[in-house]
Amino acid sequence: MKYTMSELANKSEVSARTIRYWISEQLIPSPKGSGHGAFYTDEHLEAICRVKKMKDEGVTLAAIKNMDGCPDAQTFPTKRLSHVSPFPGVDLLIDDEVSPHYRRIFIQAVTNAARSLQTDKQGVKK
Amino acid sequence: MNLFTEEPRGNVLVEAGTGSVIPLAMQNLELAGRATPAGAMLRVTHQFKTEGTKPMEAIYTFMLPRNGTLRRFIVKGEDFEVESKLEPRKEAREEYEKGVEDGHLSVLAEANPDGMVSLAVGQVQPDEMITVILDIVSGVEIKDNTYRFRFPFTLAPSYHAKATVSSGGKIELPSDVFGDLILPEWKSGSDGLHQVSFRMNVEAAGKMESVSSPSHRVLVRPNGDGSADVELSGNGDIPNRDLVIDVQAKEVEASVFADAKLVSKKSGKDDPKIPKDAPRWTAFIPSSLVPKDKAGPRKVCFVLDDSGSMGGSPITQAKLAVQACLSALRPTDEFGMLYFGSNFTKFDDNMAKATDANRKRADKFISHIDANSGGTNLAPALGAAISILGGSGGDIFLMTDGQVFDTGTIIEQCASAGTRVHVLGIGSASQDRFLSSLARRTDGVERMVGVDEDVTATTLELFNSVRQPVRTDVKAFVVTGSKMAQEHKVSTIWDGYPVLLVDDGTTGLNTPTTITLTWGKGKKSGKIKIPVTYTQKVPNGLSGLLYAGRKVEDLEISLDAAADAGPAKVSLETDLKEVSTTYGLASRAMSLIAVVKRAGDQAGQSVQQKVVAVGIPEGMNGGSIFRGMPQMAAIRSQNLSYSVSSHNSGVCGFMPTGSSSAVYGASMPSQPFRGIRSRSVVSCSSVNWMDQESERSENEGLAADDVEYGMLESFGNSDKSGSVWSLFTFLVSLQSDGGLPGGTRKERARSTVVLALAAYMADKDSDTPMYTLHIERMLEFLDHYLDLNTGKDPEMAKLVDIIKVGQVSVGGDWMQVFNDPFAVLDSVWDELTTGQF
Repeated sequence: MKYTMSELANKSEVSARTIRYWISEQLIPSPKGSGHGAFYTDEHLEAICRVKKMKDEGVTLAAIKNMDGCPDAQTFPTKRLSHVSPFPGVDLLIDDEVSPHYRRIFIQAVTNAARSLQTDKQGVKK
Repeated sequence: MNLFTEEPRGNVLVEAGTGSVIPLAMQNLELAGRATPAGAMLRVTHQFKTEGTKPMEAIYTFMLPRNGTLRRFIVKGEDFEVESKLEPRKEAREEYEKGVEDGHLSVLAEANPDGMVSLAVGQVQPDEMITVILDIVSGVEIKDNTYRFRFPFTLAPSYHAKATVSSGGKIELPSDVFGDLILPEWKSGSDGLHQVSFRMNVEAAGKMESVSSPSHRVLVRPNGDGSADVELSGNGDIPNRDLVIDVQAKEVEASVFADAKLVSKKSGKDDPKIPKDAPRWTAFIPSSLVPKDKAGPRKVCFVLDDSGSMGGSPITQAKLAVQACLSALRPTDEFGMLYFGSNFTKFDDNMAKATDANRKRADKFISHIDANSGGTNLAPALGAAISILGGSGGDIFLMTDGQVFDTGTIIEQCASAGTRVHVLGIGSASQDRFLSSLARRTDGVERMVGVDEDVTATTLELFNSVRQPVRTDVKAFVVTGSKMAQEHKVSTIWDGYPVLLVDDGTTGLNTPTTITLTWGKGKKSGKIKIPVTYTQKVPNGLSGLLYAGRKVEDLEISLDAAADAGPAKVSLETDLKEVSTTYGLASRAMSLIAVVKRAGDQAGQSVQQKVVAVGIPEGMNGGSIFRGMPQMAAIRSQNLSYSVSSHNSGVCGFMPTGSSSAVYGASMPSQPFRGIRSRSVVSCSSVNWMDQESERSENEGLAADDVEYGMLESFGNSDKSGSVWSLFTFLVSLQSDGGLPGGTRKERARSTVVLALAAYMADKDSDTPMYTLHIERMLEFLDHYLDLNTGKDPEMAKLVDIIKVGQVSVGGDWMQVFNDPFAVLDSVWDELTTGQF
């Protein structure tokens, strides 16, 4: 089946501007044909629906692009985590959205617990 | 000089080494226009060109300036020039898409939430140069004797709870709120960015005192009519910060800015798109002409942005500024405080008295703030501040970069709570439009400062201004030449912020002659009659367009906050459409569209979409939003390639575009006693304007008729040991009784009076005093001391009188006090009392 851009936009319920953006981001294939004979097919329609579904689930366009056609591989937005090592042998990954105040309280609590465990192990603390 | 008829410069960017053209969708952006204290009329020229072999669709998303609206655009090609038409949004989009599908050049400008506009230029053919000239009406940030014009060359990457961020500098917004809006890609360097330049004509409210730019290197040329032309020094810059131009007037007086046709009394050529009954003038009354009300106890809740984008100098300065504000409070005053990023952290659940114990706790609380709290999730933080104030009056003092999307909801939330929000906006792309609307809609005031500016000083200036309204419940009665009167509700007057009255269109072609202000009720009522002594011409239609622009903005904000598909929303959309159509302004309901049918256009040609990139705002920590992106410190045009005219077959003036030098030329301290690093200013005294320029030009080796001045020096770490920090740090240590700590009461009084004198000298002759509140507090302490020691300390009494009386200068080396007060207080006291200072 051949589609024009407006037909593709109507059928997929995605605006023509967005479709062109996804093409420029290489999320869906370029139109077939050349010059004024360019057209789109069901392959484009399916790709658009797939991208739309994943985007609605919160997957970034960059992540979709890296999925190689495997939409279920990563369906969660990536979180930004900071790596903290407050005590030898203790590694923490903390969500960047945690406030500095609670981050400090949490790190302090973990440090205290680790220190307490170490002193117990060394037999210093009964 | 007619800035609107000049041709764009027509440059394209080429590689410095190879000379090959850089493949940008948009090559240049050039801003021209005229700025007055009443507002600005702007013309922005964009040049689009593709170096590819396929037709292009360029998408450029930009931010409108404060109170900004789009009027129209003109699209120009080699053999055509077409003006846009205003169409309902849906129809305009359909017309655009059909135009693109039919192979015609199609241009569409659509307004989006938060003041973002997307300009789409479809079917630009290979090697074709398309110029799109946008007409924009904009407001300015105005104070009694100065105003700041700001134009966003970049767009701030901002926070939205449902946005997704890619590490490559891209943000995707949720389509249920923003539709198919495409944001630009943010670049951390100058590669892949178009070139920006500007040429503005500026006027002051009265005789011009000075013109300066804290954001760009500028050339300033005074004109014979009292205005000045300001343009970028060098060929071009990169779009990584707002353009900021400060214009200061010499004298403060009640003024009127009226359409040229009213002032010249000639029928003249009028703007055909302005309705006959549109506002024709804006009256301006400086707050200094209104007698001040007596100050009472105050309640203020500080809301401090701790998001990652505030990292570096802004957060450091903001923290010190809040501490300085706290030290200016009396023990009977109440304060609340919270800081926020993705979440917020409160100092207390309720307001606290400004006692020594509570201030000490507050200092500890402030020390936790480190710009590491995630995104700018402003709405819950402001909700919490309203809750802390507890509905018993009081003000919110917000310090933020405002980097948040979906701002209409936030503004409506605060406006409906009835809490005043005073805003200090910080950043080189500080979301001027949003933050000014937030303050205006809540009856507060605002200031916007760049990252290169002195955040601490500006915070104190703003805090001084809002300690107590000059007057509340104010009404204005304007009498015009025809003796007809207009009544205006002003509400609140703030210190340093003028009253602006916009014609309601009922008095025809007459301008105001006198304005009477009334305020209060019963015993607290009063009035003042102010003659209007100064009338200035502005472009025909400016007042009407600004009035309509504000209506559009307010309706759009309400629309954002309205429930989906409810009757309220339908009604707002109808109103918006009507205002847009009446005044010919684009809005969320109406878009600007033009389709140009060129010879040889072929239907069915697909286009390659290219999104125009912008720079990460200078000074912003790009890594706080885009992982791995460095902080953008002063990356200006040093890496741009050479510029060459595209209209010439030969090379026309190969020259480097700008330099990386942060400071150019000698600087002239405008406030030498304030202990703040100096700022480059072009003095515009009517007597010695040219003389000063010539003298300075000789010193700098420049031509006498083009004076080039530098940007502000960077307020980097090295400056933090400077005098302003010493004085602030000292003031922060004031105790709740208003005196400095330590030693006997006599010793405290002596050190306090020296510091009070230093602050007095710093503020003396300043248009924007910073230390008023601190001086008042110190005088309270000193008065109490003198009462307890009547006649026993005449030297002290004399020094206190100097501060109280004002006007008198105390000679001496005050810089040593500013630089290191702790080291010299004792010796300065001795010198002051023996006349050796």
